[in-house]
Amino acid sequence: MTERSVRDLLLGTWRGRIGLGMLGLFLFLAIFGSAIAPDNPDASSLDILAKPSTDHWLGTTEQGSDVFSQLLVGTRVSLVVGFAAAAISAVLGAAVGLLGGYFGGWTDRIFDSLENWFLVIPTLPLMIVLARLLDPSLTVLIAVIGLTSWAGTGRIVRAQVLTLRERAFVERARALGASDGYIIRTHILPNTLPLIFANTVLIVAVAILSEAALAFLGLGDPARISWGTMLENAFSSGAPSAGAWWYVIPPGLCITLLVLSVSILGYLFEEYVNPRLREQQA
Amino acid sequence: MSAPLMEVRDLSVHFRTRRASARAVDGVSLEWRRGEILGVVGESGCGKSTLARALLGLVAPTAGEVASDGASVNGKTALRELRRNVQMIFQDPYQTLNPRQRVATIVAEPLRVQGVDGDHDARVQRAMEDVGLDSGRFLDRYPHQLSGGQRQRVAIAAALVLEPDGLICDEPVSMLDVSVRAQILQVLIELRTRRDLALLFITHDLSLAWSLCDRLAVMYLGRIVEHGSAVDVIERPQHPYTQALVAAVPVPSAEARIREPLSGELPDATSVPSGCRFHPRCPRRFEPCDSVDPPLLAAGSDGQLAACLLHDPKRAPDAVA
Amino acid sequence: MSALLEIRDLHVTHAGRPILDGVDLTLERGEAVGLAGESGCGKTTTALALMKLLPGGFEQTGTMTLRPPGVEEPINVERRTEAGMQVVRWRHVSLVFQGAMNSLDPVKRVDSQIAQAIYLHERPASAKDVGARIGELFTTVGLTPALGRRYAHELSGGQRQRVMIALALACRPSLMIADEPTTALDVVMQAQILELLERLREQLGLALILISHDLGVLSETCDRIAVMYAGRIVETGPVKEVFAAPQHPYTKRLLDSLPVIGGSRELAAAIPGGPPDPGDLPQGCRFRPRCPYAAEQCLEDPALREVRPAQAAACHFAPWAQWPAAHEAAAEGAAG
Repeated sequence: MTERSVRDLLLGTWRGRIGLGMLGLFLFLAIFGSAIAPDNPDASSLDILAKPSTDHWLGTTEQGSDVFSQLLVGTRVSLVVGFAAAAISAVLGAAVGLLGGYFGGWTDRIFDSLENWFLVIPTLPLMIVLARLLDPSLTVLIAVIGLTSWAGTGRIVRAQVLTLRERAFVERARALGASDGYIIRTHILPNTLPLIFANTVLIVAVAILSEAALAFLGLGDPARISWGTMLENAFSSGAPSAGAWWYVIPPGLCITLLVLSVSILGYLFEEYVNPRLREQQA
Repeated sequence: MSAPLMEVRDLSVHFRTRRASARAVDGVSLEWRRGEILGVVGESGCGKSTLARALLGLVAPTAGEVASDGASVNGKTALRELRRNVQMIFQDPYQTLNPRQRVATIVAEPLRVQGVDGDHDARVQRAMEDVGLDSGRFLDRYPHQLSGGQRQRVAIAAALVLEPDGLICDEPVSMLDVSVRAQILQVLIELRTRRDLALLFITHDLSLAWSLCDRLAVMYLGRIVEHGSAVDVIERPQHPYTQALVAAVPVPSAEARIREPLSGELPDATSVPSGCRFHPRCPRRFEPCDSVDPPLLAAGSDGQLAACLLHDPKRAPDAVA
Repeated sequence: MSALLEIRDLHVTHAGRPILDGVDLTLERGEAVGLAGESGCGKTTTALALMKLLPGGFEQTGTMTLRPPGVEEPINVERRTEAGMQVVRWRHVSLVFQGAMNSLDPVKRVDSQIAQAIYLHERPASAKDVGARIGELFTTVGLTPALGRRYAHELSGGQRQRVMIALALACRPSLMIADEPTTALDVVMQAQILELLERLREQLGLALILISHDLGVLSETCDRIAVMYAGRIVETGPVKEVFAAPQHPYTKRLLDSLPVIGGSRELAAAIPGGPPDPGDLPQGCRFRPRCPYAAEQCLEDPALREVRPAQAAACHFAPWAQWPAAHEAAAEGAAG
């Protein structure tokens, strides 16, 4: 369908507006967070674990840093890791799915086994192991998450390619003598993109959660502030038992809301891609 | 007389699976002459679509040869040349166009793929005119904005843009409504006159084959069982299978008809019966039919051939076919 | 004797647009009526409306009365609730959907699906009874009962279609609706299925509503035919009469576009354009924009009226004794 119906879905429905709105807000914060933060998020003070006040809207951390500022700045890491990891996953998954699905035979069998391997291994333990083995940094984090989540996309893309391969318009191109590369580029890939996109948006949600989990487990980049590291610091400094809800709830809430907004958009896109779902809405 | 546009000699296409070999096309020899409408009819599974694909090199022949203009189609250059001269139209108008491309891109695609120089726009325009679609209205549209009939017209336009000598049509109208069907057929017939196009018309609709085609080949389980002018083959069928097919065609007439439809179904291509492949279902089989595989023999009118032992004067001297 | 089925003034709208516009249909016991027309004309909608199977968003009005043999009170389908319809569906009227042969559950054996239908609509005495009934059904439709143990993908298209017919007969209805039962089948399989339907009518006294765009198919099986266009019935009558002497230009055109073996090989000129969009119906007669004989008075809606004995047509100029050649200008104007 045309772009207009995507716009209709995004702007014309409540879900679309909420999802888009929230994501837009987080994107804005990711870009301008550090500029608009009232305090330097790393600056420590003597005001430890203070309650929210006019000076510190969300109170302070165990080092006396402003929670609100940390929250704003931390947005960037979550979003960057989320989107970058999802992008890697999408590219890998799409490539494997396309090539395996289109060429079949041994290529497909090898890729399929690879996918199986990655699907079967429990992701979080794998991520933990990899993060432990390699020096923690944002790049490593992105790579690890990306490498453990591509297999699902690969599978879905492969299934789609298998049906596309048999369609008459592909046969027509072959009957003209078009090369495999041309067919993949012009006919297969464009028809798989909506599916890849819909799937990737959902992987963004997974990536954001994974980053938070790894950071919470102490495997994040220590030099950066993220919501995950905030939670880690909060828990390790005993904030919950000290009753410092302003330190624990905001980052958790932000993670939830960001994942929620991305998921809403992901499902919305899936509706657009799957015409049967669209009909039920109409 | 010039060489036929395309010809197959003893063509076989067998698909191997682990257990058996599916003999989709099993020894077919056929000539498709320039400017003629040749029909290939048969039930689904008889191999007619595989035959069409073998003609364009979309499936590799297991045996036999495909020739164009008298010369065997061997090698990349010959194949490329063939694919410029002969185009194909497919059955399902809803699957035949890439949903993400505009009509203009779709129709111009063959020019891009074959690397044709010159004015693409002019050729696209002419092709659109020939199929009765107004370029101004349709070039910018996407397939989902078109009806079934319009989509099929776009597919035909895309086939015309290379100015081919022949068009292979694989059930081009079977999925269209009756009135749309007539429109598309009109387009195809006009093309034959206007562009001197040869048509290879594959269908299971006998009435259509009868009214449209010059010559007709009837396929059963990978083999041609009858061959001749369309009128002869349908109005005076010489092979029991053709006779059964014709008898099965429902006719909106005022008289009642006696019905005795052919029993059973087309066997699987992996288990071709011995002798004459039609013999298990044949109401007129006799002694040698289960062991002797009949070649195409002269039967009925001049130029008509049927692969049936009833027409072999040595084996069935008194048989009235 | 009262009619088995009487549909009066059936109207169906969807999102405010008329899909069926005043359809009347009568069916006697054991009779076969054909519903002819192209896609979008409303034939399937009529069948679904009768079974009250139209999806949400569709509104229907009109009366549909069933008088099955052996049932005291006539069944007023339009007044039945969903629960009430459970008793009607399959027990009195069943439906073989379009493309049904592809809707068999691929992971269940075929006989269990028929058993499921029987259990849903009746309280059979025992599993053995059900098994016997299924075996009987299979034999009735010309399949060996052993095939029941197979899965859908192990059967051919023709066999699957027979299974769907067996399924439709499972609860012994007196009326069966078959929507395009032979469209996806080859001419030989088609002949076999049509012959089966004829046999069923003889053996079981089954009444049949056969829906098809293929007039040839209808001519072989039906006693009467109703031709539909744009949500309305434009002609009805005994099948032989309608085909020998059609009384509506649309019927005439449909018949003309069918090549008849042995007759003229010339393909009739195609009817230009397509059926109207329900949201954008032409004024007056709905066929007027495509009709080669359209004139001034066609701006007024023609009623379906009897124009010859037992034959009715919705055309101002009916009865047609003969069909004049279409004027060039009229044909061109109609193409607009």
